[in-house]
Amino acid sequence: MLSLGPLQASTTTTSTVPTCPSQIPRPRLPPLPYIYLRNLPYHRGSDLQQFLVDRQIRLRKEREDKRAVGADETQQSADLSEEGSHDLLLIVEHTPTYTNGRRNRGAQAISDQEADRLKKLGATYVESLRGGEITYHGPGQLVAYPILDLKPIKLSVRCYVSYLEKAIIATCAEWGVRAMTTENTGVWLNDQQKIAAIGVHVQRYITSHGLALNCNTDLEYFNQIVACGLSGKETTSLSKELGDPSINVATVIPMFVSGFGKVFERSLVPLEDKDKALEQAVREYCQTGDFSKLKDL
Amino acid sequence: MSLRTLSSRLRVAAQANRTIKSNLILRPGATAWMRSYSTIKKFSKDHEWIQVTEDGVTTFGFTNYGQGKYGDILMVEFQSANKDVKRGDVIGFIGNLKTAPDIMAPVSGRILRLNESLTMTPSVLNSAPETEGWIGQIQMGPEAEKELEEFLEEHEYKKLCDQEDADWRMAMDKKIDPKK
Repeated sequence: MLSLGPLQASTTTTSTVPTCPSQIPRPRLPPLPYIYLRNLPYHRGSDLQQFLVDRQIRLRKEREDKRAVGADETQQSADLSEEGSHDLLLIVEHTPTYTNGRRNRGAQAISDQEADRLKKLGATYVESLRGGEITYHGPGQLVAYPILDLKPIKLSVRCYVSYLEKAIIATCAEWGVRAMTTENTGVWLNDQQKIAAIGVHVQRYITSHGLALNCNTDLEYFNQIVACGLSGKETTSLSKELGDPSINVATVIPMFVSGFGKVFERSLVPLEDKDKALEQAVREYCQTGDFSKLKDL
Repeated sequence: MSLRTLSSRLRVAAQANRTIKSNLILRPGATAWMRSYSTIKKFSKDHEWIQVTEDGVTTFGFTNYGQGKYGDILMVEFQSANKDVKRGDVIGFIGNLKTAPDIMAPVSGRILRLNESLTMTPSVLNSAPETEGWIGQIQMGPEAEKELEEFLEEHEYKKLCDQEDADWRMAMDKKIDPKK
């Protein structure tokens, strides 16, 4: 019985795994809006993303229901090329936070003493539903949360992640830093040094969470943990590799935005230029934790 | 939720679906074999578990061993189409960092429901594959009796997993030392 046929493939070779498309298939999508949010507490970032994902699922369903009622083919492609896309790219710097994955909750959670020790370093400690081991987010780290609908571009999770890796590699290349992928997730300079972490969620084809690229992160926070459960490896940053203290998230963003746009074949526009009301509502939520403006949109 | 709670809820659900059952042509004595399977969990070589109630409703999912082989499951989607399935029919797929394997019906029959919450929290397939992470429920059709014979008892399944672990270790050793 071949219910889980591909499981068997994984124990032999991966030669049958299809390659990812080198180009995003049609239809082409409208410009992708992005917004830069600083000093964002991690939980607020998670709640904002979940809100945006739920909103996108709801808007897509409304669009599909309208179509079912009788719009024709030309209307459908018009939808996608004009107002149809609700994709959004959040670029974020978090306040100092350690996050731990679900395998480490409950019985295997780190001890209370350990959690306290990390908190004494001035960081928040958060356990989440995701897989993976403990990692750090904080100032100096460019965290990107693309909230994208994978359905119209027919991208598998695997290929989506590889596109994120490409976007990071392209950004590092702009700084003259050669980065690559290895058997471990994320983006690396070599077998020992990791420069970016990746961890995605997909709900009804809508992505959230994403990537974290160290620009001038205080790497001492990483020395306190076995990041991503990989001992013997270290975390590095663009600023450390180039010996250039002037590099920070703000200086890296333009290259990241351009690299992301090239890989996903979309132009990127500031959210305030595309939808001022949404931009203001997102900022208000980030400041206050109040969803009311967002709920109206 | 505990499996006992799940089983009792399934019984209620099965009773509610009596009209569906009456449309199936059951062989004489069919309910007898269904009764003999009721509330026993069985396993397949492909790391699925099934749990069958007296009314022939099968709940199914991946085993803990199975989810471990997939790694972190990042996405779950179900096909909305055909309710009547044959064993092996594709009913959805999951996505992880390596691949996007199909989810297939373990037995033939009619799909009663699918666990749609998995599409919003795919990680439950990793963290609770044999309880909260149940995938679906099928009202078994007449072909299912023969199909169920191929499922394994728990001790047989454990042996199979131990053997797979041993095979994997041997393969790893060979990789490290090809002379072995």
